[in-house]
Amino acid sequence: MRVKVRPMACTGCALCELACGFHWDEAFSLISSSVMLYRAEEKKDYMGVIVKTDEDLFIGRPEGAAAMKLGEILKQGTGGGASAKPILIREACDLCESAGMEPQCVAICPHQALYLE
Amino acid sequence: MDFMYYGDTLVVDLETGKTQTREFTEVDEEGPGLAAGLALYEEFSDAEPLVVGSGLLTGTTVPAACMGFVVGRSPLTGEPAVAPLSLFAGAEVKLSGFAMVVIKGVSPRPVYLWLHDGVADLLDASDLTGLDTWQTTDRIRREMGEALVQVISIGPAGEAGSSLASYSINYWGSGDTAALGAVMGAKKLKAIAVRGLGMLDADDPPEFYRAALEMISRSPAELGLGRVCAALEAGDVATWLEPLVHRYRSCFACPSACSTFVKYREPPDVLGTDGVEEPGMLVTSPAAAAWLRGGGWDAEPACRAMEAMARQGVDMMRGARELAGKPLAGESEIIDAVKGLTGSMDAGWPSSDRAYPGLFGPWVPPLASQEEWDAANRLGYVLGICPTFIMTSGLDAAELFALCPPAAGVELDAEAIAGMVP
Amino acid sequence: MRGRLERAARDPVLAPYRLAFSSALARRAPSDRRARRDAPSGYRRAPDTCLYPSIAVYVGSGASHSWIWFADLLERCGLFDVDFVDETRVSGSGLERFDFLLLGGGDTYAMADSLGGRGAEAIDDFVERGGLYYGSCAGAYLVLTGVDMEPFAPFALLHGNMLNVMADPPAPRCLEHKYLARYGEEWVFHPVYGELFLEAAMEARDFPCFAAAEALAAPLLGGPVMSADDARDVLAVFSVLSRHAAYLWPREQARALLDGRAAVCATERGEGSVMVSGPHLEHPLFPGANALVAEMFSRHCMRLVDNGHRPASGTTAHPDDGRAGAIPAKDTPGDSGAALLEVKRQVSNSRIVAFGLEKIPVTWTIGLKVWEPEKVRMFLEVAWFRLPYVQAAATRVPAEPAARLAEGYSSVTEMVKSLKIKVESGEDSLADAESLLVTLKELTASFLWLYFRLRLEDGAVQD
Repeated sequence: MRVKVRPMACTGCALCELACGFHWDEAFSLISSSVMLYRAEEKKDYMGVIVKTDEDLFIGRPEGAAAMKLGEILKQGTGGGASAKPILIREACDLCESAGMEPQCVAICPHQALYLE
Repeated sequence: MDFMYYGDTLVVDLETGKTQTREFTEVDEEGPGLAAGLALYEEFSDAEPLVVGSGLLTGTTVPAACMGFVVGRSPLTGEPAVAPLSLFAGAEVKLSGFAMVVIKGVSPRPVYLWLHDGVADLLDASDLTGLDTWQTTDRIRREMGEALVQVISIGPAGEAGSSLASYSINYWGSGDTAALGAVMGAKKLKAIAVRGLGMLDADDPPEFYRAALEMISRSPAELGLGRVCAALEAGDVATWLEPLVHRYRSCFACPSACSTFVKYREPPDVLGTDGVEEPGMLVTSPAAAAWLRGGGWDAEPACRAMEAMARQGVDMMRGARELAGKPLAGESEIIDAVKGLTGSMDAGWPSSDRAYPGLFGPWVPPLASQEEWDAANRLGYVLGICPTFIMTSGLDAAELFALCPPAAGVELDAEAIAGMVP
Repeated sequence: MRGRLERAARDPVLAPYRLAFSSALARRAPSDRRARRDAPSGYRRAPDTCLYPSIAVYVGSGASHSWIWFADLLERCGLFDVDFVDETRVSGSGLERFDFLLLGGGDTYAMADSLGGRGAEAIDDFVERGGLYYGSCAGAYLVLTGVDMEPFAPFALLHGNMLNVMADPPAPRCLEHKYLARYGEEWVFHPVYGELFLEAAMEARDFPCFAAAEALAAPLLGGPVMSADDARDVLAVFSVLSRHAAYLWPREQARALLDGRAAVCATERGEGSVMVSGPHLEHPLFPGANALVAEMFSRHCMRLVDNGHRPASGTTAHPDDGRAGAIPAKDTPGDSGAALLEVKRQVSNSRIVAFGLEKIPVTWTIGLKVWEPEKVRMFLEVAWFRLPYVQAAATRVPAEPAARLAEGYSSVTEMVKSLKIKVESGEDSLADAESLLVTLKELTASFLWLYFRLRLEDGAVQD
């Protein structure tokens, strides 16, 4: 079971980041979550959502969504191409087990852009 | 108040170039959000201040908790006015390490204010002078090395002191209908750039989070302009825009994605980033879109006109009002028309008797009566919730008030807020 | 992460150690403390005071970022007499004034190469004369007698071996870039990356940390799975696997390799002690593991006092060796408020850029160590979260070190911006990254030296 992404359902509200960060820190921020909204290409309206686990990243890009192993991502080379934007070290997603809750990013997303499978 | 805000009040003296901080006592003495902002405005009113701040709940998981504000004396009315900071700008202000920011005086040379994690820097903006807001945002983000810096900037309209001047939020229209962009221009304040890696604490975190999540689950989660345009009685703007629609965007923490990104320099179904650098724009003003559509414009030229207005730093609502009825097609003539806008002070809405010089004016859109408009804006700017969302989503104000104790250990109600904000 | 760090810091498991060490600090004779303040880099211990240890943390060549966690651990234990040493100081008889030497993770080859025979001898001598050596991860590999290829051979302090080595390891399930390191004709491999559980071996059954919990969680991030020649040298063994780890080997195979194997070993050597751990017991999110280290610290201090050991007194000046960010020992205190505000400004600026860098799929292999962009922010946050304390003490901060820190962090801002531009444009950024990370390591050590000096002067324990 893991959190996956429907990237085109995402509207970039960052509620998932807030909820995940709250799970880890019991405070509201956008710097410490296991799920990350990529929104750094604003003029192109390019957005993605990435979920980090211990072993891989689930990367939800507009072009498609898939789990990718970290070594595989790095083999694609360095550089800032828009195709892959992993987060390499953050707390890995634990499905909110440590807080005794269902995955909060899934619960809070208003557009079901995140789901469990 | 130990929760929901962190950092001090910052006072920036543009004349001397100095900044100083003081304890954010206004939140306890006057109230949170706009209440504190207005108190600071009054305190520094001799120096024509701009006060930048955010609401009590801004930056949290409360639905539409995106709202920041700018308070200043509107050149249109001569009275204090409030303009919004939405998208991610309001939340960024909240996380910037300053609870409130007062900007007073006039700078002897063009500057921009860089707020970052409790540090305030006044930086030279001479090489930003004359640039449009897109160019300004690009330059500042490049200078700071970070694309997530939020840039509140003026374009040529603000620098020229146009009565149409409106600050933009990054590349997009802000909803500043009070010409506070001209106030920035008069101060030679080209931009306010904000970035914070902060963290907000609640008084009772689990209860606050639970209640906010519950509200999110019951909030309308719609896409596009439809709901707002319906409330505006503005016709089927959504269908008009449809051929250009790429995606829908939310403001921070908002379940309703009422901003629409349209593409007209590449097909809207282009999903990757290998295409053109500036493929389109984000329609943030349903009213402007409605005016242009109603004024006979086709969707694509209308969007190009809104882009030009965002770049120039022009109030889209009044700009669209002036352009309505004179539809254009070519990009260069559209840009010329936008640059040639005169700033007509005709009422911005179908009914001229809705115009009034109020704190949240200068117009009341047909979303609500004047009383409802004022009440929603008071509530929104004190608590940091988008007033448009309050008015169109069926959000129960009582639920918002119920969040205040677990958020910050304070009790608020409509009467208290009416007392805080006239 | 901040909230989890703060909660871990408040875990009561370290409180007894903090109390004991702060009592030891308070009992140091006033004249003794004044002497230390005047010559902060060397002091004499009054023979009848309980030992408040003086600690060296290795930050030289080969040390990565995990030495930062030592600083966190020491702070939580109320241990503020801390200095940061490189290979030059280790090899050049710079260990005389210290009671503990801590070596953490990084590139073991680079550590061994740079320390060399002289460094190995100095460390051996340090332990023989009564010092405690604690090596975690790379610092553990370094001193196992079974790791005897050059350049490791001179560093033989604990009789044991690493077990995670083979000629032809199977392909990993994940984290390919972190799986292997060449060791002669063989490969050191890492079957698991992340949280594991440790149980007490016989020798540690009475340790309070194991009384509080049957098994301790600790992160294994490339460290050795060990065997000890003498079973009495084993303090803790790997026991239960955790769900919160990456399994580069299939779980059952990883379990077969790890179950019951030595995770933490310790032995006495001469007048001193040696402790090694495969997992990072010093990691700030694992307070139970921290308590195991604190227990060893405490036992070693008691041993020294019980033995009537007189640690070498010394007034060795803190060498201003010209390293970037090195702080001269003697300085006239002044109001460094402006300089420290500049430090805050630049740490903020560079932290903001570093945060943006984390979204880019790049790593840098420097020596044998793979560095991720997040490490840049990790270094910056060491200073960021301690700056308020230092700023509040601005009148006690010497002007010159404050100015050098400001200058150093200002250059870091430019370096990280430049690095990000290169990475975003696809240019080769390895040299820039290496330069930035070296600068950050030195600056962070300089900052922490200043911070710990202030804390030591205050004699305060932050709860």
